[in-house]
Formats: sequence, structure tokens, C-alpha cells
Amino acid sequence: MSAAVDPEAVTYVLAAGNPAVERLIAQARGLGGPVVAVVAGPESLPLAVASAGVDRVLWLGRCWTAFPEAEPGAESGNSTGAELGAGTGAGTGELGDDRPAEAYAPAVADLVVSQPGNVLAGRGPAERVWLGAAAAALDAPVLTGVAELGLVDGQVVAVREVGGGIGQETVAFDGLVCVMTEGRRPVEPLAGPQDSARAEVAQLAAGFYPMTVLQATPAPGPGVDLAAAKLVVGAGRGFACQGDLALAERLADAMGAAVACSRPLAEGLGWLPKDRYVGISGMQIAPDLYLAVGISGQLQHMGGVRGAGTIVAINKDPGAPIMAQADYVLAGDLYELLPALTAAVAGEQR
Amino acid sequence: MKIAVAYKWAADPSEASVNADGEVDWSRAKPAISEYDAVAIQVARELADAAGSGLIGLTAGPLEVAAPLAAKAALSRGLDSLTAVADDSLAGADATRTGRALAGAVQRDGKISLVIMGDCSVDEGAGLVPAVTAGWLGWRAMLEANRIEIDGTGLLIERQAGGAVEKISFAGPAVIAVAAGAVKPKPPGMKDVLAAAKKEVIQLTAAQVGVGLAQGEVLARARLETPARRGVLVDATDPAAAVARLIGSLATDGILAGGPK
Repeated sequence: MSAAVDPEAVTYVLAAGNPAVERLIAQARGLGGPVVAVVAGPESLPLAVASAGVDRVLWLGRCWTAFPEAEPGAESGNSTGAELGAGTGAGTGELGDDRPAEAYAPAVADLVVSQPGNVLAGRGPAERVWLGAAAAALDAPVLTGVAELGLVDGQVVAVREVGGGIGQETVAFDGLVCVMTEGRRPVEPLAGPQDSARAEVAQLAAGFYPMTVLQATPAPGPGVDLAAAKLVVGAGRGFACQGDLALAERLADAMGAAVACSRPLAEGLGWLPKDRYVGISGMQIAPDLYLAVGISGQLQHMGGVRGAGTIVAINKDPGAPIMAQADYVLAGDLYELLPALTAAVAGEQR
Repeated sequence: MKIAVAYKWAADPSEASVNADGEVDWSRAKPAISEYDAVAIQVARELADAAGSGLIGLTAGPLEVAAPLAAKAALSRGLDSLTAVADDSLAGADATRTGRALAGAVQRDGKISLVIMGDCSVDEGAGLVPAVTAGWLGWRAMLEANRIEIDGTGLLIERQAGGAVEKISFAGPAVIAVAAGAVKPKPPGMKDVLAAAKKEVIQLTAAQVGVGLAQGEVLARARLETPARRGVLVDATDPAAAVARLIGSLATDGILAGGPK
């Protein structure tokens, strides 16, 4: 079969209201062609993405975004808790600030058909909607769990996880692909004016579905972007009750870390919200440090932290699977070790 | 508004194993209706009841998805009928082909205007099929919904994303994926199981709903190489000494600033 993928073809990275695209860009570079970011959000968002190392930014228009970093100088009232226009032209509604990013799905589909290219997106709900629109428009296979991506002799070659992360396949495609990439880091703000490093931003006359965000209020409990956290404390079944999670929270506070958990804590016991659950079917994160506390180390969970720089395991059971999958292993009682660690990190230990 | 709910008849990968050649062995893992799909079916049933509509089940996969055991497992959860795109060419199908199969079944029906799905499948867990199905249909899509309300001719969706709870309103046909915690699914009772045996099952082939061939050629398989971890044992007999050593090591590695004072 003749190879079909043009090495000069663009690679699209989709940023639906969330400026965190660094990981996508790194993966897109593996395909060789120019990298074009497709974004929706306030004006500041395409500008932030333009400095993140892409070749071109296409701005579809404004949309509602809950990501405060999307608007660095904006007053905080704009990012959370804002009562938005109800689509009647009230307030800023006419400009599209009350439009969910999902509304631009048809624009993404039209774009990838008019200038075909491979498409990469993160796991956010709006990014997935855009990626799905692109995959159907291109009739391109959707790949997940992709560790490596490249273009070899006109074929897209991907190394990806299969079977929920227990196996790995190298697959070659004669046509374009759509890739969902896990885990994100926010764009690091560049120091000083960096206009030379800034890619061109073009506004597309984009079609959209009429959809309205009527209201947005801060979610109960502190919002956590686990994917962006550099230090993460993960809690598992080793905690005897929900109240004991305070030990993990205190340690995380002292370290400046985010708290994550294994699936049973979020989905069975409901001790923590679902956006804290790390695993193959939950969040997949790659922090610099993952401190697994009372986590046995089942495949389901470890698949979500495979990309962590360093893994520390604290577990009572020296035979737990996690002990063979960590860089530092402390076989002991979390009820003694966590307070000691918290005190030491806070510098209170004598 | 005619409502459908799509689900995947799939096995939990925690029951699968991988052999030395990297081939995944699913033989000990039994397919079932996952928790995610049970939530979606219940949400869809409640919506259909509120709207006075019937509830059509949709599924796509290899022939076994239309087998009596599989069909009854889904029907007993409150579906009125089932349309199954059952074709062995769909074994291991990616989201693009699964979405095409589901969209094709929706288009064949012609009257469905709302499709509910679960948060993600239990085996792939990518959460992409609802989005791709909407793409094939040219419909609106919204994921991670905690509440769905039919409001006249439109929909009112409540969902939590990016640290905010959002209320979103729109009209038009749509595919909505519900969050895993949207409701607590009730297990089917004996009556439901008995009634399921009498419900209609429509079976379609992949060709009947316009699904193309699988793309991609597998060049190599391997057991997943996890990054080698150092496995340094830190003696935890004395907690204070143990954490001091740990912090010292992490500081040396450049992960934590400073060390114990």
C-alpha cells in the first residue's frame, strides 16, 4: 500500500479553553511538520499558547473557561464564581464569553478537513469533544496511551499501551491519526518580552453550535489541577477512615503538593472527589514526585503514575506490589511516618 | 424526544493478563455491564420516564454483544429494546469505528435525538466514544454531566469541570456522557431479569451501519516496560530517622528543596 501521510502535513494541537499544551506540542514535534495550535478562549489564551513553542495559532473565538491561568491579568471574579450572561445579549454574552468550548466542535471538524493533518488533544472534556469531531471528520483512528509518535516512510508510527496498560504495541498507520495525550503542565510564563518566540496568531471565522453556559460556580472543595502538580501525595486503602486523610492533606500542605487517591477512595468509598483519582481509567499524571501512601500498587493505579519522575512508597506491607515499583520504599506505618514527614518537611523537627 | 443509551459489553482489564509476547490474554476476564454504563442506563431511564419516551439500548462490538446473556444483562437494567451492531470485525475497534457503528444505528432508527453514554469504558477508559459518535452524527456533545434535564425542546446540563460547576443550556440533538457518580445504579431485580427475555433485540452488521475497515498494522508487541525504579529501601523502624533520610535523598535528587533543619 502506498504511504499516504505527507511529511509536510500540519499537526494540530487542540486547546479548548485550557492553555496547557506543552506536552501535546512535545509529542506533535515527533511528527516533523509544522505544529498549529487550535484554541478557543479569551484573547489572552491564544497569546499564551503562541509563546509555548508552536508554529502558528488559530483562534476560533471566545469561550467560557474555568482555568484562571488563561487570563493572567484578569480580575479573579472572571475566572470563578462569575454569573454569566444568559445568551440574551446581556453582559459579555454576545462576544462568546458564555459559550462552552464544545460549541466550536464543527469549526474543528471543518478545519481538519480543509487542511488535513494529524490531531493531538488532551483529556479535558472539551478537548475530547473537539478530538472526536476531528476523528469523525477525517475518519481517522483515535489513539490513546501513546508513548512515542513519529513519521517513518510516510507512515505514522505509534507506540501505545494496550489492555489498560499491561501491554505495548507498535502500530503503523497509512493515514492520519488523532491522539489523546494524558497529563498536562500549564504553560510556564516566559520571563520578559519574548515577541520573537511568539508564533503568529490568526483568527478563524469559525462556526459554532448555539450553546450557553448559564452559570458557573466554584466546585465544592478546593479545585486541584492534578495534571499540573509537580508534587503529588496519593492516598489509598491504607487509610482506615475518611477523617485520617487529614494526615495526607497536612503533608501535602507542608510540601506544596496536591492530594490524589486510588480508585476505591473516589469511586467506591467517595472519600475524595473523582477528579483526584489517579489510574488507567482516571487521571494520568507525571509529577516530579509521587508519594504513594497506603496504596497497594495495583496495575489500575500504577498505570496512572507511570510517568512520575520519582515514586516514594509508604506501606505497612513490605510485600505490596508498589514496593517493587518505587524509587524509595518505606515499609512502615503511615500513621507514624506521615506526621514525622510533615514535621520534617515543615522544618519543625529538632 | 426519543432517547437512547449506549454501552459497551466489555471485560475489566484488571482480570486480564499479558503473556511474554505482549499479547493481552482476556480469557479469564468476563465481559459485563460496567459500573459506568450502569450509571448511564439509569440516568437515561429516568430521563425517558420524565419525557414519556421509550429507551433504546445501543451497543457495538463482536458477535457476543448480541448473545442472549449479554443482551439480557443490559435489557434487565431498564431498556425497552436493544439495537446491537454485532460483528466480529468490531472486536477491539477503536473509538472512531465504535462511534461510527453507534452513529449508524442512531441514523438507521431516524427518530433518536438524544444519546446518553457512560463516562468511559472499563477496558479502554479513554472516554472518547461519546465525542466521536457526536462527531459522526454532527450533533452537540457534552461530557462529564452530573445532571441532565430536558427543558422544553432543549437540554440543561450540569457538570463539574476545571474546578467549576457549570450549568449549560442548548437545543438540538446531542450525545451526553454522564459522570461516574451521577447516580447510584440499582441492581436489576428478578422481575427485570424475567422481563428482559421478552424484549426486542435488533441485530445489525458493521456493513449495515457503514463501519469501515480497521486501520493500522501492528508491527510489534511487547509487555509494557515500566521505567526502572531504584527500589531503595529506607529503614522505617525509627520514623523520624527514616523521613530525615528520605528528605535528604530527595533533596540530593533535586526534587525537594533543602532538607531537614
